[in-house]
Amino acid sequence: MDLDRTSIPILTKALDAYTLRQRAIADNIANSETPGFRRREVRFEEELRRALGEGIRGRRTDPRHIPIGRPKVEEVRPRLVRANDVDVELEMVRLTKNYLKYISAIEVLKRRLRDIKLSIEGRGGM
Amino acid sequence: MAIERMFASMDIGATGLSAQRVRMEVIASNLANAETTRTPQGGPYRRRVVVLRSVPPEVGFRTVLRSSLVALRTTRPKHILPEWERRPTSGYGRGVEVASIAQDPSPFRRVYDPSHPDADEDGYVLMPNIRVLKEMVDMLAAQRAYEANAAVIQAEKEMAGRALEL
Repeated sequence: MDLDRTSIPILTKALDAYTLRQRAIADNIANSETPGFRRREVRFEEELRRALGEGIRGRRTDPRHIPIGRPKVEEVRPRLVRANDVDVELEMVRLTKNYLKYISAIEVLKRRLRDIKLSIEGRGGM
Repeated sequence: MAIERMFASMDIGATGLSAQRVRMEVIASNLANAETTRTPQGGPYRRRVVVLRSVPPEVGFRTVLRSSLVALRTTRPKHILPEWERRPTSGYGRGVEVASIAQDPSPFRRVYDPSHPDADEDGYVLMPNIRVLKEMVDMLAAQRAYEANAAVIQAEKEMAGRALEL
């Protein structure tokens, strides 16, 4: 069985991105009273969706090649963008949403790992 | 993912907590001195204001070196950036800090009170440029901001705890 073809790499990617997003939100909230501060935002889902969708992809034989077309899942990176100023209420909602997404991804990952473990070990006591 | 990167949000939350605490202390000092007419510097107490500043992202050596070797700029959202320019760790802010505790330059209040020992010959006393109501509102804002940062730390704590259950 090829573990790379399961949802595990995507889930770990997502967890990574959620952790970074949490960090950006933490910074936005910490600076909610800083004059002239512009909030930062982590973009990730669109690119992952693109990576999982249809489309052509340029093959890279050298790490210095510039990627074109549909990205590979492994190559999807969370991107940091600058947005408008901070609204603490909105930021708290983002924090909660991101927290819940993280918890769900952990939960799904936990089940996948349990399934794999089960398929390796078989049911206990047999 | 490195373990210290996992706790970065907590550190950022902590900078928020400490900045808001300084703000609370300054507000407390303003409220305590709302009627103070004598200070070591002479004259009435001047209102203090906390000036906050965001802590800029840490720029690693590698990022600086690479960006000085090849400078690529995107002028449209569709432009493609090479991988090293899209590093997820570069560019994350590191929270907030107190830049300074400045003095409010607004004029002192002039109150008519001829019986006051610090009254001038016309019977007016110079009072601190503090409005108690404004301080109370600021105190509430600082308190709410403190709570928001505490919520960030709480969320991060639970996230890290869940990850350890895997």
